[in-house]
Amino acid sequence: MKKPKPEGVDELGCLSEVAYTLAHKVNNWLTIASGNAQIVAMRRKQGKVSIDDLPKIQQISERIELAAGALQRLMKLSKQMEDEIRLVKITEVVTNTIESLKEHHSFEKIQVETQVNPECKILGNPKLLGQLFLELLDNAWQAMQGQGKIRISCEPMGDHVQVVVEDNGAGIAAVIAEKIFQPCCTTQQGKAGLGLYLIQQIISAHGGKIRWESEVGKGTKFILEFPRWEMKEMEGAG
Amino acid sequence: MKKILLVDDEEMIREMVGGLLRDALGSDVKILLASDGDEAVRLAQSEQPELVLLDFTLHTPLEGFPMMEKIREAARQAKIFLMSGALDLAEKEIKQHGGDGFIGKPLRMERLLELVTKQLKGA
Repeated sequence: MKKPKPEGVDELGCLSEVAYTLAHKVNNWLTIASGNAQIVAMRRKQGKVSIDDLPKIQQISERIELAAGALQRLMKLSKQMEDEIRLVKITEVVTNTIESLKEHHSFEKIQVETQVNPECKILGNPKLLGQLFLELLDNAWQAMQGQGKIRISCEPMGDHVQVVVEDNGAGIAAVIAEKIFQPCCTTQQGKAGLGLYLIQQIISAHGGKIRWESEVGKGTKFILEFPRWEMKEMEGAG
Repeated sequence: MKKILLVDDEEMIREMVGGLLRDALGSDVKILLASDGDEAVRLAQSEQPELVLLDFTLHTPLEGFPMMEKIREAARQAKIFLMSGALDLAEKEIKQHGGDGFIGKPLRMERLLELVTKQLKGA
């Protein structure tokens, strides 16, 4: 098995990329909010304000809410960076994430099945990996509109660890298939569409890869692969 | 008929600015919209707009200065203004890459209209 390097986790690179992307998006949302406010003010000066301007007002509050949500996510992410990098058991992260979701009423109608091999370990930031599973489950929740079954499995495979997260939701529409990991790719009104972008960034920061299989109306399967670590290699690397 | 090419990856910005320009300039000016770099270069080549308003970051393979250089090659007589929230884009650098000026985001709509009107008069 190829000996991995402890510096293979680039969480700061991830934060820097996410911060730049979110700053660009937040600025665009503020451009929409501010631009519409200015247009309505100009139309008022000209005596042209009408009921047709209501969508502009709605866009102002919607875009400000998206901007605030993105900034809160960024703040959360930067706090998560404070956690130490260590060998993390996937079973631990998955269990903690599911436990934290049980407190949310919106997950009451979601059935989560897990089959995680206790030998699966990833070198990484436990809080960031927790956020990764949270985003994956939230993405599945949205695809299933709050009702359905999610299956999480994890197995060691040669020199890597494979995690599969499967839902029986709406599936990925062909129209967005090529850009699902791009920031703000969403088919849902009022949603920021940052979840899958963050998922890809966190996986990449841990030296991993993600691919997916989906069928519209039947569900989606995300397949994640991370470099596999053993305790003895950690001791050798340190 | 004069033409303006507006390039931005955010649909609502294209709709908002496009709508503002249509309302202000009427049917004498054709507003062309593009959401990515390749589409922008294609439209610049085929429509030869007098003015291009270009978002710097599009999250597509062709964006930023390389996109601006291609648009300059495609529409040599066009005035090209770069729109961005990044305040560190120097005017000298923009001109080196074929641009004519910078518009900061969030946009000041009255200033934008003044600039557009002035550029179309001079075209």
